[in-house]
Amino acid sequence: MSADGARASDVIELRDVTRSFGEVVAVDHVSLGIRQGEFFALLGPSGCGKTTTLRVMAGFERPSSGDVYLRGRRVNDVPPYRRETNLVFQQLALFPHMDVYDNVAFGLRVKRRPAAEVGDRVRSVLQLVDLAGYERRRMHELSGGQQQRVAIARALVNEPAVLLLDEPLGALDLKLRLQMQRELKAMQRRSGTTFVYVTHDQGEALAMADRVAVMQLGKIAQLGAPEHIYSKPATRFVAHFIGDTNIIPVTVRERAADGNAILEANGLRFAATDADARPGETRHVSLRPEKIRIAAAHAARPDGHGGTVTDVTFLGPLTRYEVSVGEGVRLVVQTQTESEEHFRRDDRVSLSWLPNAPVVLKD
Amino acid sequence: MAAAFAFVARRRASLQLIPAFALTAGIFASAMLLLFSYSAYTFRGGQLTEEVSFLAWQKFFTDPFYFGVVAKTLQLALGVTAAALAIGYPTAYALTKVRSSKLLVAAYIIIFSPLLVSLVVRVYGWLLLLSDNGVINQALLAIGVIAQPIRLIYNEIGVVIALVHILLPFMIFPILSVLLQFDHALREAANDLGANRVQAFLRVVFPMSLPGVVAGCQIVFTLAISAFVTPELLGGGKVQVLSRAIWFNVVDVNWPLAAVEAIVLLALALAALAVFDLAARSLRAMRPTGSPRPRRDSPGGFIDGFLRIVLLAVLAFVLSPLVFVVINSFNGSAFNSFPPQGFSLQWYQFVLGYAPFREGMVNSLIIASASTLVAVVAGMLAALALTRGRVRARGAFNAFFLSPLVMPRVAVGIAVFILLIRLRLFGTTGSLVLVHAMLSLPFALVLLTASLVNVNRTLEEAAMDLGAGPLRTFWSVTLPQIRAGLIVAAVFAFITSFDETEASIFLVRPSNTTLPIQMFLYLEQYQNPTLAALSTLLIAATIVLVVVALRFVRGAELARLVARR
Repeated sequence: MSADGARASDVIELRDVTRSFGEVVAVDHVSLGIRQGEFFALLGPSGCGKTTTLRVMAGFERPSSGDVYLRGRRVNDVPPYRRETNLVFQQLALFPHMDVYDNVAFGLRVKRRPAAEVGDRVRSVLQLVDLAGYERRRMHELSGGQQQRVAIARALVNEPAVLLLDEPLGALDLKLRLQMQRELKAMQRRSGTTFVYVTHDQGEALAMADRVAVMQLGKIAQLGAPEHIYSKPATRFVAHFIGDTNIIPVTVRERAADGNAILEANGLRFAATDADARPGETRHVSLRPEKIRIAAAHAARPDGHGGTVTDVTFLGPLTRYEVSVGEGVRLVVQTQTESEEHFRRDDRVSLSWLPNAPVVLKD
Repeated sequence: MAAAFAFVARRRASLQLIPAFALTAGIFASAMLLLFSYSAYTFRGGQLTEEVSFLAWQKFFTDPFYFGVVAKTLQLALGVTAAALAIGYPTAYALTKVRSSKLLVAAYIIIFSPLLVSLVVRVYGWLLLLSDNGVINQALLAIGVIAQPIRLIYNEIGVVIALVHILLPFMIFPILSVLLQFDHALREAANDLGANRVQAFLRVVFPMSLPGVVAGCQIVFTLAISAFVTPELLGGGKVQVLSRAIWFNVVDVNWPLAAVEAIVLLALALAALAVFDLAARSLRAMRPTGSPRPRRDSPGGFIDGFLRIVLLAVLAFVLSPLVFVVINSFNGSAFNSFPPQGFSLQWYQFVLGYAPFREGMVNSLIIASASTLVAVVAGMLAALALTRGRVRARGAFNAFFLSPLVMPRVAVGIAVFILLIRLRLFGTTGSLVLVHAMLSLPFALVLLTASLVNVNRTLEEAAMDLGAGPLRTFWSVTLPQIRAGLIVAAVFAFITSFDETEASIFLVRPSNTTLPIQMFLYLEQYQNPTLAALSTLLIAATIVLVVVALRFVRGAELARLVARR
């Protein structure tokens, strides 16, 4: 990173950006860079500041402090209509007094592109979003999914440096949402455009994004590839927010010769790899339910922890057990219904996991 | 007995419609039908005969004078509509930018205040401002901009200014309500796609507010073509519009020609309504997708500053005639001179002692109270039937009850005048009460229907389950829930009657002349601050009435009416 500009590979970069509304700090010292051509997701619960972050990128909110760089140029003072970003609004904000063609052509016409070029570009982008032939439809004559695609086409036709999407699938029903997820990802690949996608739905973010930033209370809690965030959550919040997990308060007892940390929690003693924890510290561990193996007590492995099944929930392909182990530690365990042994309430069982399953969290 | 109850229960909705139907059909519809038949009577040699001919129609459509009158009427209405739009749109737009809710409420009250002040008072205020020795001319002379007074009244300028003043709220309100519902995500979308503030306004905000513009123009144009008091008092005989031609023909007993003119005026009003309706229909495809997200946009420098100035100028424009009426009421001079010469209370003394005003006041109070009672009761029963009863042709009934709103008041006046003469009821106080009730009924019906729709029916069911009969339930559960609507409806009906001039002028006798008509007649003859004193008293009374009414319509209810954002 050079002193006066952004990293060359970053299309858009936020440097120490804060945005507050009176007393409320919506975005709190956020720094992040988004790479050319990637599908980037801003993920977090409502009120975490993700939409404000997006609006800062689009130019609808000015940072209270910090800087925004777009293609290496500082754009704090550039209004939305002079920025090479385009936003797909949460409520779509399609112009109801115009048809599909006029909606999509809006940006090009405002920039006074020649009519012939407008026609070519509108037609080709409608092709891209699979809406060729719908040019003269009015907005209320379109289905929810079609309106979605018009909103995306209207933004993409301007060939923005970054396409910003504010929970655009939120209003759709589950089936359509899953279909649109695949389509969005395909459109992103075909157009080669950088996407920044805001969502509160972790499944959506994991399915589509190349990288994910998980936000909490205006700050970025963790940033990385979806697989990394899932397998190595940094904090209790991230571990909880992404997928199902067991959070266990532990005390670090010692570091073994192989580098593993030996942890203890209410009568449970187990090892964890890759822990930068010092003996004596109290921390939390995330242990994903599907990483835990469950076996009958009589078939216990030597490293197994004996326990009792307290609850069984049948989820179709999966079965979820609640098991009480050690001195009252309750662990959720998930198994493949078809391929694994079944247990009932009050069965005596033994739980075991590999040393790389427990992730020692920062907090 | 039980059979009678069962009958009432079964026919309840029909029975509830009877009073409103009797008012509208008995007075309004029969008068309008009679008007058509009178247009075919003959007026010859200063005499009205019942000989059937089409002489009046022939005269109207062959005499170029009447062509000129129609042209002038349309031209005036177009001018007023254009001016009201030019002032009203920026005002409505500026109102959407007011951030302080206190300022907003104050601006609303000022803009809508002229509706509460008598028409004659407002016209009188403009006389004070616009006459040769009025405020504007004297001010311009004093600073030396002009050497001689410029003619602002007794020509079209004054008429247009006063009509714009009177009709402005009807332009602002529909535009404002559309702008307040505007989805600001659309403006942001336009900005995001490269449109700056001006482009976003021209391409997105303005086109989407067109339904409000059309609605505003429709109301203003329809009211402007039928205005009578303003062109009569401020036009000085030079602004010859249809309503005045009707008035003169009635005075000359040429009722057939007056009937033809009234029918033409009615046709013009209906044609205007139809044209604007067509325009509105072509705009209907603008249904927004998703739910609108109102948001006040970020403060901008130059344009918002300009809008603020526009808003202040319009508020000053709206208030100035009323302010100068009050100032002039203390004038020491016998002429409406400005600046006032000395302070005096003599005009108040004179007003209180002047018998025609005193009698007019008593008549007006009696007629307004009685007609309010009739209109609210008939309106309440009809609203109950239309919102709850199983009524066939619900829409047709509603349109029928609202139809007097569309008709030019002058046309209603002449039609009802002929009807009352035929029924030998002309000049009776009772007839005025019923006519005013008929004219107030549409307001009462609309307001009460809107309130009844919002009533929580579960509470009524709870009351009945606990043993309350239908009347008891209505009294103790329904009525408290519609109190705000009921009070507003009563205030509207009272003001409509108390202020009614343009139809009543055909219907009164010297013995039961109402106050606004006494004022109108006085203003046609005299020009001194007497009317200012009377107007000031009326403005004060109106303020008291509104404040008292608002006491009963508390906080939340009013907030819902005013701050709909």
